Amino acid sequence: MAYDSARAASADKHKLLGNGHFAHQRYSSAIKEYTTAILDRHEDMELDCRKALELDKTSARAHYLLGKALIYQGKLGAKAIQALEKAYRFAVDQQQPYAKDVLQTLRTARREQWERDQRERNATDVTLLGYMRQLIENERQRAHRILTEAGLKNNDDRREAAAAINDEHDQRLAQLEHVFEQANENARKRDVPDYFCDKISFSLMHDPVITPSGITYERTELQDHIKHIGDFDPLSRQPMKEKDLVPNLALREAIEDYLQKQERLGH
Amino acid sequence: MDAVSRRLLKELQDLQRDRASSAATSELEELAPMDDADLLSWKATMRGPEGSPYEGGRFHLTIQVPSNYPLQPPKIEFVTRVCHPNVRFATGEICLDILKTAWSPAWTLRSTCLAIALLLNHPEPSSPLNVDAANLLRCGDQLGYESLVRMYTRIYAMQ
Repeated sequence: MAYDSARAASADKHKLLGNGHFAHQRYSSAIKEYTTAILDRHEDMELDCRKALELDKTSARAHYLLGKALIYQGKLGAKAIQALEKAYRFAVDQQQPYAKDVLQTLRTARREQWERDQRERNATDVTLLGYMRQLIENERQRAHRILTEAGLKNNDDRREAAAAINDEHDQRLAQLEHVFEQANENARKRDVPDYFCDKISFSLMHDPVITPSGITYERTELQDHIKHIGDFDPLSRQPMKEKDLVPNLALREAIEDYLQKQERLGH
Repeated sequence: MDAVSRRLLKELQDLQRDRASSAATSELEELAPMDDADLLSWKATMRGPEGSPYEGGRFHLTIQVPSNYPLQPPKIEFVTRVCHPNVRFATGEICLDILKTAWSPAWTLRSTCLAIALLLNHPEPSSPLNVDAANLLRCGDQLGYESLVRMYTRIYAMQ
C-alpha cells in the first residue's frame, strides 16, 4: 500500500511515544498516543482508498474500505453511508463473496446514524420541555401575585384560592409531561411491517429480489440459500436458479419511502 | 453479531412482545434460551393439548440451533419421556417432516414448537419411531392407544 510517508512517520512516532509511556506505566498517556497513531493510519487508509478509486471507480473493496475508514475516524455520516452503498452495488454486480459483509456494515452504519440523530432530537425535546415547564411555573407565580394584590380578608378564602391555583398548574404540568412521554413512546415503537422484512433473516430488506414463485427475499440471504442448500425457492420449494432473480424495484422504493417517513416523523 | 444471532434475537423479541397475549391460549408454556450467553441452545415446555390423552402433562424439550439457521432446521428433542408413534421413546427424537426435508426458513422456533404440539394430537402411524404405539393405532385400537399414552403421561409428565 502506498502510505503517505510523512503521515506514516508521524504514526510511527506516536506509536513509539506510546511505547515509552507504556513502559513507564503512564497508561492514559500511552492510550492517547496509540489512538493518535491509529487515527493517522485510518487517514492513510482513507487516502489509499481514494487513490484506488481514482484508478478504478468500480472497485467494490475500495468503496467498502473507504466507508470503514471514515467510520473508524468517527466521520460517520452521509459520505460514509454513500461509500458503503456503492460498495454493496458493485460487490453484488461483481459477485464478490463479501457482499454480505458490506451489507452488514451498511446496516450497522445506518442504524448508528439513526440513533445519533435520535439522540439529537431527544436533546432538543428535553430543552423544549424545560422551557415549557418554566412557562407554567411563571404563570403560577403570576397568579399568586395577583391573589396577594387582591388582598382577600378571609384567611380560609385566601388559602382556598391559593390551593386552586396550585391544583390547576400542577395539572397542567402533569399534562405536559404526559404529552412528551407519549411522543417519546411513539418514537420508540417502530415496528417494521412484516412485508418489508426478508423471510429468511427477518430484517428490513435493502435489496429485495423476487423469485419465479413471486416471493421476495433479501438478495444476499437468498444467494446464501442457493449456494449452501440448493437451487430452489426456500418457501415454495419450486426449482429456481440465481439468474431467475429479478429486483423488486417497487418494494425497494416503498421501503426507502418508509425509511424517509420514519426519519421525518422522528421515529 | 453474526446472522444467526441476529435472527434469533429478533425471534426472542417477538416472543417477549407476544408473551402476554399468547401464553394463556397456546400449548407452548415456555420457550427461551438456556442462558443469555448462548443463543444457540434453547429449552421449551409445552402442555399436553386439551382433549388429548396428553392433557395434564407438561413436556420439556431441548432445541439446538445449527450455525447456519434458518437455512437448516433446528434440532428439537423431547427431554420428558413421551409415548407417541412419531417420537422415539428412549431418546425423545421427533419424526416430523418440517424438522427434516420440509423445513423452510419462514418457520420460527415458536411455530416449530407449535407444530410439535399439534403432532401430539395428530400422530402419523405410517412413519413410526415408536412401533408399539403405532401398531395399536394401525390395528384400530384407539382405546388401548389412548390409555397407554395416558399412563405414560401420568408416569413421566405429571409431577
